[in-house]
Amino acid sequence: MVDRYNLISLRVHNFMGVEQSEIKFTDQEKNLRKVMTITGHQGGGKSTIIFAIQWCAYGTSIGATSRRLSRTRLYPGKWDGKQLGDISVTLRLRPVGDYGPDSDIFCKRVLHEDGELDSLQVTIGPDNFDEIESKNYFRQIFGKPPQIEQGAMWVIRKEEMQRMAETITKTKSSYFLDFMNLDVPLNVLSELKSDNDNTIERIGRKNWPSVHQLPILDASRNSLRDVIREDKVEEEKLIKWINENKPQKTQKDLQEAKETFDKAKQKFVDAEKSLSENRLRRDELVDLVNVLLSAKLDSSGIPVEPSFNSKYDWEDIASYLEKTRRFTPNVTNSIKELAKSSGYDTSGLLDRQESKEEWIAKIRELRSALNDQINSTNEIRQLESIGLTQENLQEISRTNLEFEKKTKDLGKLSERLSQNHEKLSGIESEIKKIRRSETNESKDKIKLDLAERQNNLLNGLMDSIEEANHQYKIDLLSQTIKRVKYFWDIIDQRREYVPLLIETPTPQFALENLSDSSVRYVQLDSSTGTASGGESQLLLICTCLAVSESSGAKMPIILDDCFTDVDEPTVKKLLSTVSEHFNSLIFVTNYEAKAKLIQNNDGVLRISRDHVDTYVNAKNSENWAKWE
Amino acid sequence: MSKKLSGNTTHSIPRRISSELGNKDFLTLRGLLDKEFSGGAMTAIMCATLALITENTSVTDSDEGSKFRYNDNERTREVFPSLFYAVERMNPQVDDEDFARFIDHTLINSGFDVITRNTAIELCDLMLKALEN
Repeated sequence: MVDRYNLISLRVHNFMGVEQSEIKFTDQEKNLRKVMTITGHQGGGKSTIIFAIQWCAYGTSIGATSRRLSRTRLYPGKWDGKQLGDISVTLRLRPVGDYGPDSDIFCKRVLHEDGELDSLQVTIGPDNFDEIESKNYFRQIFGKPPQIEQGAMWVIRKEEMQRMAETITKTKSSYFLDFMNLDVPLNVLSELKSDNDNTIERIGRKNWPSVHQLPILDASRNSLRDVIREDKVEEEKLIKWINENKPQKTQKDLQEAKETFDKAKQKFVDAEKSLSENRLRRDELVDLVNVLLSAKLDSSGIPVEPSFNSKYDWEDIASYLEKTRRFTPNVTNSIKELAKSSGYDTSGLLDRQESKEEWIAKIRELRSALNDQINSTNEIRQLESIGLTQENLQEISRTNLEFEKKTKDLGKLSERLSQNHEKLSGIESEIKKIRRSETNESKDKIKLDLAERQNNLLNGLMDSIEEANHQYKIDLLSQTIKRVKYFWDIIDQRREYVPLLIETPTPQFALENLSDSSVRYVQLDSSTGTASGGESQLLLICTCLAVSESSGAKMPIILDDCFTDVDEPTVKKLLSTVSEHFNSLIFVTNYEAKAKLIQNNDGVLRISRDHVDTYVNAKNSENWAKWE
Repeated sequence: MSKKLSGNTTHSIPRRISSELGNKDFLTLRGLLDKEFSGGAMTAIMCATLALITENTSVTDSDEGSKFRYNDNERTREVFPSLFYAVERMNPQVDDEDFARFIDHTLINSGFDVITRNTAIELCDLMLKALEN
């Protein structure tokens, strides 16, 4: 069991007035300095070293009521209140005793520029501890976090002493009693209970599938398998049909063929219509025959003679002549005879030139219509000869439509199969999950049972601790008072007073005169107390030492120059007592003479800004903190 | 018999182009007519005209055809004199006794032969040729 730790080194980066520095607390032979003095003029940076150690131990304030160092207080002045880089302090400690470097503990606290909180990492030899483990480990070394900003029981300054004087009471929460109660075990138990509560809640949230669902899921699975099997058979059939009935012509080709066919058909219809309009009418044939015969006679060089019949009505002429009585009946009868015995009527053949032109045009049109009709008929026949008929096209179209339908059916079927496969996979996974969960559920039940039983136990323990805490505090206070008296007896060289705790009306420390039993009240502020400044300081230092001892902290005692009014022999005794009793001591003082009061001093670290411009950095660090 | 023929002259047309027994294709002049010939007179006149304009007198046989008279209807009465005139003038070698027979046997049958041997287009070409010469 390690009782105490010694400082090996302190590495500081961007902390208050120090940009970069590493202070080694070992001597040139790398021996530990158990007792040492840090000295230097005011403002040199002694307190910065103490703050750096303290910050590394307890971290940064995250709230207004926190008792730790506030974040902005850490910033170098040149940052002007805004963090411009990472801040870090690394503390290297070694247990007092027969331990080597392998046992060294590296505690590194970092406050990243963009981080909300600082983080702590502890390394012991090759082992790294995570944040939570590091805090737990550190708690054993540094003790409980301080109740005031400048407050660690192993750092004794005027502030700690003031606080001690103000709150030394057993009736209310006090700085003094904070170090002597069962909060630590209570907190540990509380954390354990919180873990258990989380476990109970987590397990309670789990919705374990019921084993009663298994038969239903099994039935669903079997039914789905049947559906899939049937669909697969159907799918194979469809694939076979599709492969066997792949369309010879694609729909596009088919459309083009149909258009060609329709076009030819339309041409045929148009030609038929035109032919119908241009066909010779029967009532026109008389005229056509006359024109044809006239043209033929003309081309044969045979003139068409006007016929009597065609030109005159001989009967009328004879009748007229008879009425005139100038001609004999023989003459008129001869004229009448002309009407009966003259040549053929040629009136239809005469003067047909105009009609001939009209007939030429008409027959040409008829011929053209006939030609179109023949051509369009031939075109259709040609298309039919290559297999394109209206019926054929309809058949191909029907087959194509069926092919499309079957292809779509196959698509839908494949999709359904895929969905059913997915569904089946889900059901099978659910079945597996239920079967697996049977095991996990029983494990969880065991965990749940354990957590609940532990919680019952913890509740009892916590109740007991809370009940016992009050008495414990009284007992500890009594014990601590004994230790205060113990330290007083050793350190006080005047032997005139003994420490006394006055409980009424207000608890406070006092000193009782050994000779006349008169009482002198202690206050750090001498105006409110009746004890002298030196007496008050010594009593409070003894109190701090007693509390530090009982707090469990394992750090070296750091005595800042807080006993200005104590006489020299007593100071000497104080320093020797602390160094012996706590095995290590860091004495911080402004005064060169006081530094010499310490016996068995292992070294004096002089802090000086004489050769440092503004900030301590890697270059001037050695000038800033120098061992003598 | 005199060379002069009247509308009462009886002639005949081949049965294959007669209204009762004929072929529709021939009765419409291979489709050039909107309706079939009705009665034998106009059919005969058309056949004889075609024979005249193509100068075809190759067929002289006659079967027992369908008989008709040129006066059978109003329309043919208007045109048969033209035919007789043209036949007479274009065939002066045919004597008076053979004139009626020439028309009845030779021209009507040869004209029908023209119809059977030619397509509708060819018939158009024949007519155009006659008109354009």
